[in-house]
Amino acid sequence: MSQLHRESVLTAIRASLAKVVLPDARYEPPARPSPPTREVPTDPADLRAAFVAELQALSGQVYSPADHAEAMDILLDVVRGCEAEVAIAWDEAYLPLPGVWEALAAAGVRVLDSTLPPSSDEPAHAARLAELEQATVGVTGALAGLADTGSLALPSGPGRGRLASLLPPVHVALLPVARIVPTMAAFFASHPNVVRRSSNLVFVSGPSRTADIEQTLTLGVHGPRELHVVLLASAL
Amino acid sequence: MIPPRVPFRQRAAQALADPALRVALDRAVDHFTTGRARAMASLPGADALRDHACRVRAHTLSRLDHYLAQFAEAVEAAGGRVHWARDAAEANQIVLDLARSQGVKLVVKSKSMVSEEMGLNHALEAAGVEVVESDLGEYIIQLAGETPSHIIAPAVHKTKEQVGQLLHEKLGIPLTHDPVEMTAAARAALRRVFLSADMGVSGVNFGVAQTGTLCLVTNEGNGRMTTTLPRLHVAVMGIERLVPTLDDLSVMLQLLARSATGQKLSVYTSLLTGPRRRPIDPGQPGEPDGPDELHVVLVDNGRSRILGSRVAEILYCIRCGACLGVCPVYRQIGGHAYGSVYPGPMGSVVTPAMFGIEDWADLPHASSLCAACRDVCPVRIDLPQLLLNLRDEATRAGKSPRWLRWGIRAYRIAATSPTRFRLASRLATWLTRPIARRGWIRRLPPPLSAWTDYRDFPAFAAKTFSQQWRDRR
Ligand code: SF4
Repeated sequence: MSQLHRESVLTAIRASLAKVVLPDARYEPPARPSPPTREVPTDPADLRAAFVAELQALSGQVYSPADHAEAMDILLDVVRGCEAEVAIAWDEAYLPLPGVWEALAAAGVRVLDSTLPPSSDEPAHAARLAELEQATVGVTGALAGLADTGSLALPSGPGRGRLASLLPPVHVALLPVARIVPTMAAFFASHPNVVRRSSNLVFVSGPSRTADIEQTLTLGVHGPRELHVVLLASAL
Repeated sequence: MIPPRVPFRQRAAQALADPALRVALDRAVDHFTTGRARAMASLPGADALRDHACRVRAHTLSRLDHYLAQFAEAVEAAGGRVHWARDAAEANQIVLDLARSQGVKLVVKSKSMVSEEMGLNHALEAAGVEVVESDLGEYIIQLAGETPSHIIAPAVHKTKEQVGQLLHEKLGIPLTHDPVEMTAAARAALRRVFLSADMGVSGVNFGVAQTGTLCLVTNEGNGRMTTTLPRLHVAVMGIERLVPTLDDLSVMLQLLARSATGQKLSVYTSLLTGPRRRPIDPGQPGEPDGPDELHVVLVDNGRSRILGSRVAEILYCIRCGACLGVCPVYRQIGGHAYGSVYPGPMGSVVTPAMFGIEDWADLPHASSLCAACRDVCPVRIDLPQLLLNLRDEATRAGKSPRWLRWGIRAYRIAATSPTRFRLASRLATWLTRPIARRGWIRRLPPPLSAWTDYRDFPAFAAKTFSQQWRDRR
């Protein structure tokens, strides 16, 4: 059925293209245009400064701990600050700071199994979701930071769910500074297969927000109300 | 889309007489225009980038058959299913069939203009499926039983007082005028919906042909919720919303959020490629969450026809809404008076082009042709020219407004003979002399009052041009 309509839609398009009057495509299809080049910072210190400034302007909290111990303290401070008892976190293997799960457990925080059972098993699926909804804090790594927009690139994958950065009201992301790239285009250039590997790649730029009521800025609509980014000096 | 029974002029007059609408528009619209201007100024080489974006759109559309086929293949290779719909009815049927065959009872939606165009909510509800909008603005107007009045800020026509009253009545929360409290109440109500919905329906901002990726941007996170929590994700997209590659996508994204809300990037830019990945080898872990099935409904609904028309350029549109906020007509009358899901300058082109000039001949006239829309359009659509092309089409179809036909006929009689022209201009000068005040005519008798009801008319010079010409010689 759908194949039949496929042909009729494509045929209609071809018929229209045969008499096309698109201003920039009048005689023959234009060649693939290449974008104008622009100056972007490449120096690591500049990249980092730009990333921090952009993210802070978006109401994100940024921390620059001197070492891993201090990074862990910051993480635990945030967790205590929101009185979290339950958390969702990426698997240890994808967190650039060793020992997070253990440290959370030691601080009395229960880290949930965030793998959803298949939806065919409805009761189990619903029960797991209801449980995950109780989490106050989500801890993730990040594949990259984009300096010009202050964004985090979070890919999905085994051990790296979407929910950790979505359901809880507080999101803590651990980002090695070396992973900050100038722009989204630079990110795609250095990670050409990222969308093939992940069903979901999300660029997160600050906490969830809306301005739907009289353009009044309100944080934390459906996604997290707080976004904390801990910059780690050395990558794993 | 069924055209409203009341003509546009009357709808506009009603909107102008609505004091709450004026308050809401005044409070909101400036935010958009100043935000956009600031964001564009912060983008180095913005003009060159807009030129480039325009070329990308032209290129994509001039090979749309190729890119569409490539996109569909890539979506399926990633595990998604593609459905083709020639019109709105077919598209609705596809979604409905999916809902039925999978026993769906509750659908949660993330804002989608195509689904508004299709009347999808109505079709689902008629079949007994509950639909809840999750974008805060859409949720508000759904509670109010209204339609969106702006393509990116659907509830822009409402004051916070009105929203507070509405939430008080519908959700039973204490009456408040504080947007923060209102938002919290809506969040709580919608959380329950997200957790129990069987199907998520979203729109698509861009489809990437090369990878079969759907790009979806939201600020609230409702797009992520809708495409992550329910076991089924159905994305409806117009067939024109493609870009060839991820690089092209990054160009478009730089312009979209800046033009729409004055942000450099929306808070959540989601790239969805297929459904939740299953383990490659049994025993290995797959992805921990995400929908089990992803369906993409490609909606033509007149787009392939528009591609071969004199307004094909409107298909470049990335639905940023910038042309709405700068339009002096939109700023006065808001979105509902246009009578279509697509308002503003862009809507005045899309609506007649998509749903037929016969029924929508008055919309291309809802413009002063000041070209502010063309100046802001991130993909450089020549909106005033397209409006003129449509006025021309309407005239050819015998659908131009009566006043215009009569006026032109009268003008032709006067202007095609020097004697008649001289006579007519003297007559006009002589007749209007008693009512002109300080160089302006403020009131004229019907049918000419159609002009002076809304604007003054400059008084005629004491001597006509031909008199002056003769005197000087
Ligand atoms: S016509 Fe241009 S300015 Fe208007 S919504 Fe479309 S892309 Fe934006």
